Amino acid sequence: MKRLENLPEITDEMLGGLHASQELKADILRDAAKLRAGEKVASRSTPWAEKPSRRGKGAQLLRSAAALACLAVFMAGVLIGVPGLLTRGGQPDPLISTQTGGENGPEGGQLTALDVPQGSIVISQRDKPAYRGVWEAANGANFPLVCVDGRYYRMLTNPTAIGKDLLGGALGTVDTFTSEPALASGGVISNVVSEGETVYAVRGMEGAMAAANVNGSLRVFQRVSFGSSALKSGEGLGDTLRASSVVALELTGVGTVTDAATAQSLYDTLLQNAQLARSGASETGQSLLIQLQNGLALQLSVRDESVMACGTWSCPEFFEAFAAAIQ
Amino acid sequence: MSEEAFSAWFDALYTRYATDVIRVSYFYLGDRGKAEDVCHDAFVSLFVNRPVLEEGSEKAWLLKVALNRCRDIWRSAWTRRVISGSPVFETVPGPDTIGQHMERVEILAAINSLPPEFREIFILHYYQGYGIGDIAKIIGVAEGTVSSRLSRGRKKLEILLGEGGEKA
Repeated sequence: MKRLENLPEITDEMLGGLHASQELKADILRDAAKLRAGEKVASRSTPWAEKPSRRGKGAQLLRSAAALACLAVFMAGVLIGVPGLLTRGGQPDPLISTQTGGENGPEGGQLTALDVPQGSIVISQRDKPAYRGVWEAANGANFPLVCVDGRYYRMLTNPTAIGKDLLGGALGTVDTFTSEPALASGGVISNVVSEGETVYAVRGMEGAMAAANVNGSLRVFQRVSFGSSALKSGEGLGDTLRASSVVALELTGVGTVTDAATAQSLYDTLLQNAQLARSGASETGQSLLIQLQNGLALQLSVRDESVMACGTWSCPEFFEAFAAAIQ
Repeated sequence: MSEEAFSAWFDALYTRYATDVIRVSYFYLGDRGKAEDVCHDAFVSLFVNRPVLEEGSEKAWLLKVALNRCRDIWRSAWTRRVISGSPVFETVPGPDTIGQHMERVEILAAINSLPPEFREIFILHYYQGYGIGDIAKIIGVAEGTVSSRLSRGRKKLEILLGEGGEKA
């Protein structure tokens, strides 16, 4: 990086047109005098402040107009019920109620699926898929994640906190907090867990889930693909989808299996027959929710006869078995 | 310090450091108007608060205030970046250098594209010439963190600039 050593010269030359003007100095002295006299002065560098920045007022107006137009389109979409713009709150009630995992969970920790008796198989057909996700939404370009030694875990919306009885061993301490995790390498990286926080395994779910403190709550993360990173050497689907004990499955738009034995059998079918199609994964309009005995839930995106989370896995056998189970 | 002495001191600091504060802020934010706003706020803060500064530490104090402002703007303006897209980093060359030095543009743009916590350290170290201890004080992190970010940032730059084989 020899060019870095010349950065002062390069910068002074390439930014040579940027100078602190006497006009700016006059502004500073005027505003400082006002402040010392107890008068209010709008902060110039606070975004969305009343006073626009010194430069680019026209462009700022255009950006504001564009933002308002986007907001208007969004609001119109919500008002007329465009499905793609529906928020989670606008979706049908969930078929599976995920719940707080661990010691603070409801007594018995049983799954609640509509009002059917325990052990039933519920068939649910809807006019359109009712996609319900437990993956936390992206804030900007990247979804909230934590990366431990090249393994990426995405934060889940449920549960909002887990009991300490579900915490496994420490996987490491976040040493890089960055809004651009794709550019970071090695160690423990996150764009949501603060530097210095410990990342834990989840007991019985090692490799599939992790947990870490986010804003005072122990949040759960699920292993996923990120960028070009997915499986590590020697890993299979079972390593990234390790489940303690499955008690129910929900396949969006198809049905819900709430008989624990059937659900476990279907899950085993998936693990035994899935073939890796590609390392990448994407979100789709359909998902498979896997409800576990410990109160946690895993999610896989579904497209055609493939499931996706950490890699895309083709498994026609699972979908055939699922269809047979709900008939 | 008398009002007259303060005024002379303030004028001297503005003449000596205001351009550096603008360029560092511009390097961080990629927005000329915002960079001038940050410079404005740093010097207003100096004027209003009148901190007692050791001789030679004035510039570090101004850069610390400016970078805090830059971070606030960067953090709270993500919505605008998402809606309007991140600003393209443009150089603002002096009149005698316009139309030249694409390679130099490339390295400035590469540094500007680093994550902000790396970017500020690169600007302070390679552009402003501060050592690791001084940078740690300015941005309020441990010296080890500064060293680590410098090292990792260099690797990122090598990737961005396609200089895998070139070492310092």
